[in-house]
Amino acid sequence: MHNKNIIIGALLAIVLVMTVAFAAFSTSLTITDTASTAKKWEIKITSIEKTSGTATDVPYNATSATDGTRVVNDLSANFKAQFVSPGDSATYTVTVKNNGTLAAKVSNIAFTNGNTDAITNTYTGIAQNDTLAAGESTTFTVTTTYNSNVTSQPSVTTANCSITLTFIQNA
Amino acid sequence: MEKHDTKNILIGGLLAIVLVMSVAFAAFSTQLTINGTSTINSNWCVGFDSSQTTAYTATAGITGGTKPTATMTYGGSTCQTSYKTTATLGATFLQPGDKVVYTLTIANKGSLAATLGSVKVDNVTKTSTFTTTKGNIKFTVGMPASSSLDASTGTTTMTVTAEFQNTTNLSSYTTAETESITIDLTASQA
Repeated sequence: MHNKNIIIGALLAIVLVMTVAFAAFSTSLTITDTASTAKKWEIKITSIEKTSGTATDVPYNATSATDGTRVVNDLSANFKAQFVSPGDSATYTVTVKNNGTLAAKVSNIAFTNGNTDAITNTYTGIAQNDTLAAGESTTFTVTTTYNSNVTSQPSVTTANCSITLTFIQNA
Repeated sequence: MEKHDTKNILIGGLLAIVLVMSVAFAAFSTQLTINGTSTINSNWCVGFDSSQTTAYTATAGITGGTKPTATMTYGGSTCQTSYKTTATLGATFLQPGDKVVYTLTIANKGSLAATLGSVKVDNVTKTSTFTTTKGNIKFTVGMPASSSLDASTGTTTMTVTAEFQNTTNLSSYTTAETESITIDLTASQA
């Protein structure tokens, strides 16, 4: 009996705190946009394409189910590059759009470069705390390179990289 | 009992409210992921054909004499099992005039056309036919006959001659003399 009183008290406290937090968001939205209709949150990838470099881009082929460069869905995209000679590279430009009515910002970037002795992957054009206004688009690039100082056949010939961007509401 | 039931209902209701509010918090966050795969699609393989271990001609310095015995061994970087970047040529000579002529085969077994560069003879870079003397043995190292090798099928040869010099004053002459020379190959994409 006593334990249940404690549980009830704790839950009430949690609800109270969360209500205050929600109230803070609600308050700022009301102040900044009194004329809007329904609020919408939508951040999406709209395109990915190879924009420079001598490496070959492998396009996606839906007919043969061959994976390649494409926007998979609103939240993910792939690229696939093939090298022939040391020094070959490919730069991919990714476009992200804030298709909602709420301003957003990048809260975190997680990048796994997958680098090997022969292949280097990097990104540029986006950073933590970058903001994206409602309706706006932004671009950043990912570059993959067959290192030019390679003089013999590498033992590892494939490298996989991954970049994850977390967007949150920009209060 | 009634009071007991009421508290259970209250706990359940509060839990439901907390759950809904948690979901609402999580909705203002989106993760976008880009996955990339990069692959090296070419194969680089230029080297001496290490299967050629008896590609030499040995000649005795005197008619009817015992010919010198020669060896051809390979090392350095290896590609496709049999192609190596270093060749070591040796022989044991018995008398002045003994001679061994080695023929080294160089092949391009990769998918990229290649251009042969300078060679290193005992770690010294050489760009043209070169002679050196070790003891009483004179080595003459020729350059590859062709510097351009097509992808997959390109081959060329280079000749190395080792000779026991016919000198009149052989103060250091011994019954048998063994010498060797090491040659390193360099190549780059054409």
